[in-house]
Amino acid sequence: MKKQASIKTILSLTLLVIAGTLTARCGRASSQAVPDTRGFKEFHDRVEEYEKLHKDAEKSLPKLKKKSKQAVIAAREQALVTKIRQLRSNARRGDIFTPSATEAITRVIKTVFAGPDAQPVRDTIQAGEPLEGFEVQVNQRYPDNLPFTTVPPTLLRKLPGLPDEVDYRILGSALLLVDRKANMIVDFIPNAIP
Amino acid sequence: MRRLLASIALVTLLSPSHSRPQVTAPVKPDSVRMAVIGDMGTGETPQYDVSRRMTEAHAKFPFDFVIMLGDNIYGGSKPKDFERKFSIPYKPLLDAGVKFYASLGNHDSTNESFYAPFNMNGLTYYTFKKGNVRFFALNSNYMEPKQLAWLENELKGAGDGDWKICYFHHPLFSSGRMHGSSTDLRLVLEPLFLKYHVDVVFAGHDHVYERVKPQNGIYYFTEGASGELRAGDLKQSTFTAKGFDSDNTFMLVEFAGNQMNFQTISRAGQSVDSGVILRQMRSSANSSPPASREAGAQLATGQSWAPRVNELNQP
Repeated sequence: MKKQASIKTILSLTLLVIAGTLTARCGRASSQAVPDTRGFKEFHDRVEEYEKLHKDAEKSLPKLKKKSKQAVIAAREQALVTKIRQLRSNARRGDIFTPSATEAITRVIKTVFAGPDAQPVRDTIQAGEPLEGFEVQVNQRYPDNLPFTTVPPTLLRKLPGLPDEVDYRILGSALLLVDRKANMIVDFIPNAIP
Repeated sequence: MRRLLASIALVTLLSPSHSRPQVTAPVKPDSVRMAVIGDMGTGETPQYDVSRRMTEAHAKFPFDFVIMLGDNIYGGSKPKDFERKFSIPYKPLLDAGVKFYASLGNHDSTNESFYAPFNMNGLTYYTFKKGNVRFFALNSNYMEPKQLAWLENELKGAGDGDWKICYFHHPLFSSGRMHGSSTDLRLVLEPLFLKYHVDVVFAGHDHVYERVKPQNGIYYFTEGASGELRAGDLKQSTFTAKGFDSDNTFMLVEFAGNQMNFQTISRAGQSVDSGVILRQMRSSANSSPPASREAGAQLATGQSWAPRVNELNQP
């Protein structure tokens, strides 16, 4: 009898420990999910704000024809850069990639780099040409003489979608948000790429 | 002395560096004829030499347009860059009415899509048709889901009656040491190419010429040596059908019915590769490709075309 009672006690205690562990893990997972959702929402909202700013800047300039001379294209690009800088003169790193957004996006990136397609993704980034001696800053033009590192399509599939005005770009280990027509760095996450 | 000078002149004219390219394509009436160049925009002597060869070839093989595989303009986006690296070297062809259709490389600004002579109409990816050939110019710098969805829609809508040619900068299959195959891009593009029966793919990026053995029935070419060159960059590979990395090159391509003639010509005017790709009838769009594309296929009603190559005039 005493032996049966002690076995029951051990089993009950074991079940309690297991239940407690599972509850704690679920709690952690759900609390992790909430920041990611918030982070993605914040990112989406901030990108939308930037999209509006870009469109306002474009409206203030003559429209670029689909077939233009290079002198016109270059002048318009510079004018767009100047206008955007005026409209967001106080822009700082983290305005769009907020801390919550950064956390959510870097988690997505880490998942891709830990996944089945990690090697092709890594190969694509490493196959890019060396990009040294360039310090990334917000509102800075992407230099003409710096080639692009291909953003791996597998990674692009997992990152939050963007409007036409902006692209992701990789520079070294940083993930950039770049204004496509202005060719200008809008925000960035340093050390985002493992 | 005069005889000596005349002999020297004759020898010089006949030497490889001055020999005009021998064109092997048949130049059939109503065919679709194009040239292919990649990684050309250096503004340096090799690019100008290649463009001269292209002009010479155009006299015998009057191609109507050129497809550009990216890295169209290296190192700057000022108007003088576009003059030195594009409009001056290709002026004879531009003056003859030859159109250029560009795709973007990793050295190209996105805003090149607005440059009139590149015929991109402000788009970084687009499609156009010439005769019975449908072209899909892609932006392999940024293969986002939206572009993939567009491509699938366009490939599906193009049906199986026409040739389907895709071109972009980063090669899916390449034996170049510097860059090599873009395996992540291959993961997303190859399934679409297979599903919708793309026939031939052209890419650049590696500064060599390479023709790849058919991969699941699709023929891949790397032409990344039309201005840039990485001599000796090709490594041994099981998928190379023909490689050339000791001089700059460009390609001439002719589509006539279900036949595609191609020829690769070096800066010295020598033919370094040539062949014929034949489209054959294949099974319906949703079925898997046949195991061997090299074997002959029976023509049957309701089926569509698949490519098979016959190599000719191997140097």
